[in-house]
Amino acid sequence: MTEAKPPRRTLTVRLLLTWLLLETVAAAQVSRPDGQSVLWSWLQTVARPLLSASLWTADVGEDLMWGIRDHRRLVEDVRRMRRELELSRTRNLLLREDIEALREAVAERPLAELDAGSLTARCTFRNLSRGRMQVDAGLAQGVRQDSAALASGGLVGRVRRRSESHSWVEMITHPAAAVAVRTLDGQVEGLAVGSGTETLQIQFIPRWAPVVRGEVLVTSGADGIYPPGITVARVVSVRERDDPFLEISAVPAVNLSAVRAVILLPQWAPYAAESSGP
Amino acid sequence: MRSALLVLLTLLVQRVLGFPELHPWAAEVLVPMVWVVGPPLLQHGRQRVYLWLWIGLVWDLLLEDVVGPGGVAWSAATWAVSSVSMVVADRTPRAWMAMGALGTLAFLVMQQVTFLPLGLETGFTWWHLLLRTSLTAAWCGLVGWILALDLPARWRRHRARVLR
Repeated sequence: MTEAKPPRRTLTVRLLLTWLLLETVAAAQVSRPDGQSVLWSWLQTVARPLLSASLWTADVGEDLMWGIRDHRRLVEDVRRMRRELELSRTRNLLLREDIEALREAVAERPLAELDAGSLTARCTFRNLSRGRMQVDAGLAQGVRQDSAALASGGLVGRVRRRSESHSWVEMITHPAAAVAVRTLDGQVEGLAVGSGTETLQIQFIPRWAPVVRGEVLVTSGADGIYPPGITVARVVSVRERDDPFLEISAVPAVNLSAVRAVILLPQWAPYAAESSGP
Repeated sequence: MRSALLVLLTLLVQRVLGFPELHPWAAEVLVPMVWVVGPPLLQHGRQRVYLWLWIGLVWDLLLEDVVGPGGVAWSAATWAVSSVSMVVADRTPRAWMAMGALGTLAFLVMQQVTFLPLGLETGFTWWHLLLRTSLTAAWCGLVGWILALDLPARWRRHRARVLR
């Protein structure tokens, strides 16, 4: 039984590989003058470029990863800053509107004696159909029950409910609201009653009263709630009936749908029951 | 087994030739080269290159300070001799000398090649190469001439004449 003879090329390759192995074994036994193994120096010679290339690749990869991460972070920051910018612009616009409203309200302060103790409050909510408005001033700011609420142009209503930081204002258009009014010359007095709509009904105006369309009505102070002299409404229609009183309709002097800030007059509530809670 | 013992004996002889009491040139003879040259010239089957790898390692253990280059050198010598003997038909003592010289050259060249990257000082000179090649070739030629004499046959013929 004869052993199969390997091809000569295979024999040569095997032989060369074996020689390489033996050379490696020999290199492991020989030391250089500095005490370092020859095999180790070979490995270093071979591995150093690979190691350098690997380190370079790793550095580049790390830089790339950091760059991508920074890019993503920058993109997120830019997006966030854009959102904040938009938010700031919106807030700026709102604040500008508030400032304008406050300026208007301040400019429209009817009575100098009311300036003392007056509060400026911002409208945070309103429901025109229900005739209610919420403002951001309450017990903490010294708001009293039935404090009058004014805005640019005239009277808005009065405070009906209070909490620590907010108050509910009953607008003059509320069906339960009633304001003692008079003409500017003070000859005619009546009662402006809310109707639940955008108009007020002026009651108890005698037929002989010289009230015409366009007449401006102000508070008379007879109700003990509102200080006198505040613009309330403007007459839009006057009709005579069989009754002894005229049927007069008026629109509030204040555009209630555009009110953004009010002035509260807590000092002017002579008959208000302070003990009644919010 | 017998071949292994003979090779080992040869290596021991090589070791003895390096004793300081002997002539300096005695160690220049590569005694085991006859085991490289003999088998292919005597048609004793193919050369066992891998076997000489191990023999070379034993050579290194006995005669060198680094183990490894001997395996390369001896297997290279075996490979060279066996390759050339396949294309040369001459089997005379002159062929033994030539094969011995070839094997020695291959051995020395490969040994230098393997020593070179290791940074070892080998003290190689052309005179040394020539001397070692010549002596080993002469040694192989001597063995070939002795084998060509066919001493057992001569002895048998001599005994037959005496007995007659």
